[in-house]
Amino acid sequence: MEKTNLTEAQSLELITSMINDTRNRLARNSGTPFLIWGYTTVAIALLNCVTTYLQLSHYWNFSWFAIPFIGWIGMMLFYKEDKGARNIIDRVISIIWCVLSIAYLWIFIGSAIYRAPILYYTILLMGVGTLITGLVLRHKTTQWCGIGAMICSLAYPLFTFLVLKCDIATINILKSWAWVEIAYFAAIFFVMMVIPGHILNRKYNRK
Amino acid sequence: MFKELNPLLHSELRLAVMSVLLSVESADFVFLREQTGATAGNLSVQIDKLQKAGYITVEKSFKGKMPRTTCAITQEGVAAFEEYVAALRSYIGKGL
Repeated sequence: MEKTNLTEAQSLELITSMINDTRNRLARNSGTPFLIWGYTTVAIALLNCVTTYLQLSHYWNFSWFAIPFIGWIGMMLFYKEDKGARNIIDRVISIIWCVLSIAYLWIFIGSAIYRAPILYYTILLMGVGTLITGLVLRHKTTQWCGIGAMICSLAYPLFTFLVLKCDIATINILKSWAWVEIAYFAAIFFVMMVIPGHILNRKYNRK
Repeated sequence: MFKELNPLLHSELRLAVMSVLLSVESADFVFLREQTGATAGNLSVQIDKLQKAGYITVEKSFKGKMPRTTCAITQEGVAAFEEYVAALRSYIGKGL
């Protein structure tokens, strides 16, 4: 790049190619955070699904706490590889998820004080995050996965509403189906995070 | 009447650096070198020229034990770039 006698057309071409190359380079691996959190949550949810189905000790419920630990380690490893540059999209997405994480922490504390439908709130909040991320990235699949998750999250309050209408005998039968609730949670997370994560990586890494 | 092209920007490497910096908030020296494909020495000289013109800011820091040079475009740089592109368009538009 030593040339100085550029023609006007060459100058415009250089500007366009530099801007596009930079954007594409920074978008590489943008689906990886989705994959880290998605696979971690699905794996832990399936573990809890099995322990609930087999009616093992309730101490297995503490395994849910492994999600933030594994997730943060994964994110630290992901950010360890410095891209060397940062654009506004990176910053906006980081801020969105940071705010949502704080909101989720509040929900978690609230649900610890007073029993709240934590699976419903989790999917709803993460669905909002996925939808906003999809809107910022202008990626339709991610947007639809977020919307789909938000709609599917309604199954939890709906189920609770129906259970309250049942008699005691039916409620006892439904209690033995608790593992289905967790399996449903894992399935939604797979669709909401793992699928868009792979699609995003495939799209941007191919460029 | 043709607008005059800014001679500081009408150079391949300086224009490439400005284009990269326009699409990011900040970029380090290694990133700019890889994106432009320039040699470290040449890039360093051109960055210095752009900084002296007030088009970019250059911040030197350390990442661990490694020195790090981070560049970012200034408002003045953005204005000069926009003016340059407008001038280019006037040339191309009148040439057609």
